[in-house]
Amino acid sequence: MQLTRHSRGQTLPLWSLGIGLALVIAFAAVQYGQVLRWQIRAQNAADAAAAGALSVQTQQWNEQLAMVYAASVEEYRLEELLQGMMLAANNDTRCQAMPQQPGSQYSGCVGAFVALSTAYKAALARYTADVQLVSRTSQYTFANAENDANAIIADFQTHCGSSSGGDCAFSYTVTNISPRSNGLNDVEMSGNVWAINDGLPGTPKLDYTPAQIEIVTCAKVPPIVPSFLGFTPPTFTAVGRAAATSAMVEQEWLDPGVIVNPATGLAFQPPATYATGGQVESDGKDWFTVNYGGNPAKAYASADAFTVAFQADEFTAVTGWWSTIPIKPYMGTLSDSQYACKS
Amino acid sequence: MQIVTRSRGQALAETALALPVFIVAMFAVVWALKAGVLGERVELAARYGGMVSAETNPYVQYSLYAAYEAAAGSPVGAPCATAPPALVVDGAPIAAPGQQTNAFFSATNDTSSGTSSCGTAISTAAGLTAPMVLGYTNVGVTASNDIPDFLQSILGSSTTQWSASVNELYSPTMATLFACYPELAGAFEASVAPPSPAAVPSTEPIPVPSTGALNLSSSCASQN
Repeated sequence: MQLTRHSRGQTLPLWSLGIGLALVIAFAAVQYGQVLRWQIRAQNAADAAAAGALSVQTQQWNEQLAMVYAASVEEYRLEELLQGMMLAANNDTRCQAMPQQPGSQYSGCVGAFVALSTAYKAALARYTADVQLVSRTSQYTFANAENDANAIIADFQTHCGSSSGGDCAFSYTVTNISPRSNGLNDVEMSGNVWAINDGLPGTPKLDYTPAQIEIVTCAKVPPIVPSFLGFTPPTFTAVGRAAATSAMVEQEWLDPGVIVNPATGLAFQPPATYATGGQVESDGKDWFTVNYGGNPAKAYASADAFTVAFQADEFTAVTGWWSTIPIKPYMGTLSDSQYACKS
Repeated sequence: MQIVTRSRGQALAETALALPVFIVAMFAVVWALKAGVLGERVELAARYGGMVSAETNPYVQYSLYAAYEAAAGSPVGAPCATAPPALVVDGAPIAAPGQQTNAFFSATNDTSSGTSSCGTAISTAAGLTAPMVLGYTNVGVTASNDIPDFLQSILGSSTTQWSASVNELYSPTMATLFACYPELAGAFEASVAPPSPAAVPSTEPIPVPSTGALNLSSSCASQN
């Protein structure tokens, strides 16, 4: 009889406990999923902001490099035209039999000289325009980059949700912008050797030093689970932290006149002829045609470097293009007071 | 004997009442795990979509080839990186492709969708030294979970919808730079493809070095 009495209702507390535990586990799983999602979202926001902010520096350098290339093409053309003018002025045998030049009343070396000097003046004007643009795009200082990166990040929040904005859920804090001091992706070009990270990182002036930036995104995320029985789940703080740096993402060695443009099927910089009818030498140099090509470059099998021998008149371009790449955050431990957090 | 009679079957009755509730609670745990995993994977898919969009193809974005073509008025199209919704299904393209996701953790009908839009944004943020050109790719990923029938009335829905998006900003491509700064494109094209016959300048080309910022084209923001 005693045993029977003690068994009355004994399963209900156990079932209640089990159901309660199951609900707690379910709520915990939901909340944990919420935490993971927000943490990834915060990191996404930080990564995008860091990469976007430093593009203020990289685009200035890309503009400048494009104009440096254009100016170097023009400079090479000027040198070739000057050579031709000197030969024509000295009544070189290669121009004596030249017919009357188009648009000119002269033939022979006089005609060649007039044609070449006209081309020279035009090339000099274009070269000047290129150098003027190099000048304008090279005024950008490191302080400008620092200022602009901060402005871009502030705008991330102001125009959040737009094409130039960030994630509206977060606050964005720039914890550091500084010159990158290590030798990541240094490129050297001297004479006829081009080397990447050969152990001798350069020390450029500050305005040409790649920047690095670190950004913290933060949001106070209310719990997805409602308060119950006087218990309010704590607010979760989603923090993203990312860093990026300007880096030369593509290094390029172009042989204009040799390498074929896949879009046109023609060589980049085909020969430019300014005085027609002259005798052409066996090596292709007639000094009245600007011939850009001919660089028999070979890469070392064991090293990331090239060597070339200058065998003829030639123009080779060694350049590179900049963008931003992610790097590991470098500011060490941060305290809560070093960044804002959106509630 | 009376007491025995009243007690008999009580535990069974209590179990009969509590067991359905307990089973529902356990299925809620299972659903929460499934939903949480998918929600995280959707967020990760958006993350990787944003990452690959930043460096889609350096050759067509940043190169002399791209510069020549853009200056000549036929810019090389840089593809707009697509979000990798397959990441939710089998890990592709990260595992290219990896093992098929266990059916338990799969999205409804094993499907997800991704969107992306690319373009050029002009930032005129206060404090900038000059308006800045930015390339952007907005990546979005969506997927959904089925909610078990017996939970639908409690949760008020038949599916749990997950979505995530990332707006990735990066350096403008050569095509964008040339489209946005006509001075740049004009001078570059004049040097690499000079007009013939050459136009003789009317003045001696010895001006004072310029220092002003480049002029931004009004049609810049439509480029990508």
